[in-house]
Amino acid sequence: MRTAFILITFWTLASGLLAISRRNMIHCALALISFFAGIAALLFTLSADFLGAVQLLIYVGAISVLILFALLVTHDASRLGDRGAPFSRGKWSGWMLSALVFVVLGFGLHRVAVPPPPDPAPALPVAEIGRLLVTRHAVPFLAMALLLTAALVGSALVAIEESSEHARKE
Amino acid sequence: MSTYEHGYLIVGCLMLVALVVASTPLLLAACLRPRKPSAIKQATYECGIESKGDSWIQFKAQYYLYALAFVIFDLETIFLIPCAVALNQVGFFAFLEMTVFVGVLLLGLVWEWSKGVLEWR
Amino acid sequence: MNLSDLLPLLRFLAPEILLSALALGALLGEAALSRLLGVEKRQNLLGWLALLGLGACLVILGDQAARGETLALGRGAFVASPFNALLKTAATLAVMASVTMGLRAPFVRHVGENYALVLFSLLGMFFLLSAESLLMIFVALELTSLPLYALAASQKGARRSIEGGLKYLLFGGLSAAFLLFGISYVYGMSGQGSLAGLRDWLVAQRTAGGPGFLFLTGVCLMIVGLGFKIAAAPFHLWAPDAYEGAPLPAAAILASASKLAGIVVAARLLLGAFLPVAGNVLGSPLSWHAGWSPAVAALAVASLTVGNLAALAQRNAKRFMAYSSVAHAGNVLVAFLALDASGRPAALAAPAIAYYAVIYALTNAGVFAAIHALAWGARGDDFADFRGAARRAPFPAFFLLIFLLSLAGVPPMAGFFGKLFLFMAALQADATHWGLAWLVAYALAMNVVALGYYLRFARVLWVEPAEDLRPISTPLELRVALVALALLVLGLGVFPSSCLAAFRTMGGVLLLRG
Repeated sequence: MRTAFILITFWTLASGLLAISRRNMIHCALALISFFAGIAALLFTLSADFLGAVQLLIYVGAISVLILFALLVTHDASRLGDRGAPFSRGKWSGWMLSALVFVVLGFGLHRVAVPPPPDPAPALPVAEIGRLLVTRHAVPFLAMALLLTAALVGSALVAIEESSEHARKE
Repeated sequence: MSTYEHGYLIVGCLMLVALVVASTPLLLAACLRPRKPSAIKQATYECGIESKGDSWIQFKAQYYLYALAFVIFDLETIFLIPCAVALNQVGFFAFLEMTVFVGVLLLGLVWEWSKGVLEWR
Repeated sequence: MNLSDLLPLLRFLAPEILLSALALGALLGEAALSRLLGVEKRQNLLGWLALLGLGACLVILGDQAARGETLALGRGAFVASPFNALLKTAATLAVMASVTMGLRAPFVRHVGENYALVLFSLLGMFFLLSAESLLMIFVALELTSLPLYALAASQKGARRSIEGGLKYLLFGGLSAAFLLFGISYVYGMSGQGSLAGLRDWLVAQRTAGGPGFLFLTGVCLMIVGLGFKIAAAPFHLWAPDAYEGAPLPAAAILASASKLAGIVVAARLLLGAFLPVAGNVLGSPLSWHAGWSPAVAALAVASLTVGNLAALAQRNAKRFMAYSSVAHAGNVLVAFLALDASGRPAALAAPAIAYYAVIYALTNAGVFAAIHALAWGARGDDFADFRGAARRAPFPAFFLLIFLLSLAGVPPMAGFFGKLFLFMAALQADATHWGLAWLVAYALAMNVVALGYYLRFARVLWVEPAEDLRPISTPLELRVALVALALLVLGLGVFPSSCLAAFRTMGGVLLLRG
């Protein structure tokens, strides 16, 4: 399992690097999808089955569709990167900030005494998640329904008018 | 190796088999085929007609609305699956909650429908 | 749980249920009416219905505040209390002002959705104001912010609206990521989801060698996320563009109710849950502990500097208000540091923060309503467009002057007492050592600068000559809203100490015990 974890980590890191460094936006998007799949695989190796399935369904399944659709409706997305380097002028401050965050988090994680994982790892059954959702976390659960509806309306509102104006012009 | 890891080992083996089955014909073809490129052969194939212009055209933003709605309802299933699994443990009140959850999102769908967001133009 | 247990719950949750019904009703109303009525009629009808519903909400909230009962659900996921009811009342009033502004001005085509988003956002604020658990805080923050992103971008024709909305969305998404990342560390290290549980865990950790570096990192990441929400420098970059691009009614919510909710949740987290890891910025270097207060002190100084100095240079009224809101975030953060040597907050700190947040929300709602009334006849919202506006529309200009004076902190107004209490709390904290005196002195100096630029805006309105002398008429409902807000701002200023006492007796920062 350890080797699998390390291999998947490298795969994920490599996909992430590809996603930010390719010039062709479609390649970036595909690399990003591979990155999402890598995260899902990592969750499976960490015995977080439900989260892994969620990651697959939401990110690999839905968010990637959203990203590819976004490229589809953007004019000439394949050439967006041609105008210049994929990195902006502020790249050095960006790299430095990321390095700083990495050092701080790495230092913190290094100092944490993580207790050895129990074997076999305690799997949280899906039914238990469901039970907690409707009992202890009932208020956030219902707020989530409203949040999703608000997101549905808000996103549709931002996207819709553009198209109806489009239709009027035609 | 625990049973948990064993389960995913089988999944991994299947993925490997799928990868091999899918990629072997392509690799074989790449090795065996004669290599005589010409400009006409490398042109984009478009139903036999000569292709005009760029392959990149801008699609209508309308299509994006489907993707957005899809993501929202995909998320809804994530919340519903665990509740559905736990339904026989939690009783009537939880069922009421789930009904409200689905009902609220259903109202969102009704709105989308009547506003014509879902019309394919 | 039986149905008979459900009924008392409904009484406490009534404002939230009513708001949800209103928001969904606005959606369905739009869906039903969009083919029957024109845009302006729908705007008027749905707007008045929304105002009516919000008025009913006020009545219920007033009843909750008067009854004085508290209820906690799901380990702090929802806490109803008189104090929370008062905060929700202030947020509702600010949103009502915004809805009133939108009644006649045709600024969007999708009217019902616009009202629905406003109501969803207010609902998020309600949940946020009564959330005492990490999970609920995150969900409520998203419910507050998501509709606001869409509202900021709702002026589809204007390029700057889209630009402002996009910037707000990107920064908001980033801040949510920071907050969530921080929450994951905090929860991962402690295993506590409720704020009261976190505080007790931290107190227990004191004897066990402290909560550890990673926990503090998580707290700092959460501060970054909260800093974005309350627009504290250096996380304020979205604010000027979002304020400028958003239609005035949406900008009014951004600047008032959303800010109120952000400040209250920051106080709940920092002065409630994370109080044991406050650390200190006072005293000698020998007694220094690591904690969040140096980070908050840095945010306060940066916000005071950037907000006040940048506001001096603005030429657009909305951008000006954005920088003013950054400066006010700096003011309020000063009181977060009012901790004595043993790490207890000054008695005045939490009530002063709540009082200031309420006053600030009401005053800012008033400023935007008045600007909206003046902008009726103007070409845009640059200062140049408001030149001599007092002669064209003396009524809103007079009220704008009142609100600006309150923001500047001129004595009879509530804004003065808000600032006074904040700085008094900071001085009270460690009075023997002059601990926070440097910060208070700096804040006072910056507030003198602030007085200058608020008066400059007033001068543009009242002294400079108008190019165009045609009078601007102000609709009746907007006049009523202005008068009501001004009465509140003046009234809360006439009885500041009784308000403070009310806030103090109604409960501290956290209501739940662990």
